[in-house]
Amino acid sequence: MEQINRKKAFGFLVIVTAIVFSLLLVSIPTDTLFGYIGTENVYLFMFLVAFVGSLTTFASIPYPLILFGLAASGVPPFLIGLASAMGVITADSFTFVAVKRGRVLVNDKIISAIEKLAIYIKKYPRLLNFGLILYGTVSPLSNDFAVISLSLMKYKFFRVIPFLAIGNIFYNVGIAYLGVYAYDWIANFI
Amino acid sequence: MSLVSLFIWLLVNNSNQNILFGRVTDISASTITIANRQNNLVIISIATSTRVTSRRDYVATDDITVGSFIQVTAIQGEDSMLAKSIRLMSNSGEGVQHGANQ
Repeated sequence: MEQINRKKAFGFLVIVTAIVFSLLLVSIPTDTLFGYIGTENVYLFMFLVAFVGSLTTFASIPYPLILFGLAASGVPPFLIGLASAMGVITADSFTFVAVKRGRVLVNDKIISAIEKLAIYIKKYPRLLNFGLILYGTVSPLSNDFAVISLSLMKYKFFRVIPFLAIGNIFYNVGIAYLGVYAYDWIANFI
Repeated sequence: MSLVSLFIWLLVNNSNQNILFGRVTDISASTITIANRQNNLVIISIATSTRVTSRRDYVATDDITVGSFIQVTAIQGEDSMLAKSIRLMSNSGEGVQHGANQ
């Protein structure tokens, strides 16, 4: 009993920290945040911007716009896309572990509904790999939806994150190449 | 990118604010010109209030040289853009020479 209470207290702490951190990020203007990041290396800069932008669902920086601009400005698109994807994947990994820790705090009804979905997914295990790659590549939704749901379903880290990572690499490198080939067209369109 | 984060970002940040990256092709006392990969040029005004930084340190406008790779946060005015801040960055990749040759 005492152990459950301790787990709940730790989970509560994780969630409160995440909310406070999220609100702090939202209230910081991008220019100030760039100052905090303070690196002159474009790849490290993109990694950190993508990391911060992906750490919470409501984070302050829409990092694909920065990636798009950097690629258009002359930075090698594959490398900058890869740096961005690494930032996103690192943030997703933190989220996955944090949700696992905070699972004890989630309402039993939600857990029960998620477990029903888990039973359905477990019928088609190979589809999950493909689904995660596809989700990471083309979904306009935040990765958090997949990461949080699968973490609550008690999926193992290496069953989820590597496949989502492949999708994220496709997505970020794709955005970077869009910056190279479509920047002027999109800038004129806007 | 979630639409929610974009919405919050627009609320927190000035909607007239542009974030630009590029290589410096020309610099004068009052303007700076940067080029993108396709050598499209953007001229941005510099004011005394423009902050110039390298890493976390403030530096002088003189430290910006032709060929430097920079990030500019600029406010869109009626006729031109005014640089609010300029950050010196490094990029040794392709496209480096494109702007510098302008």
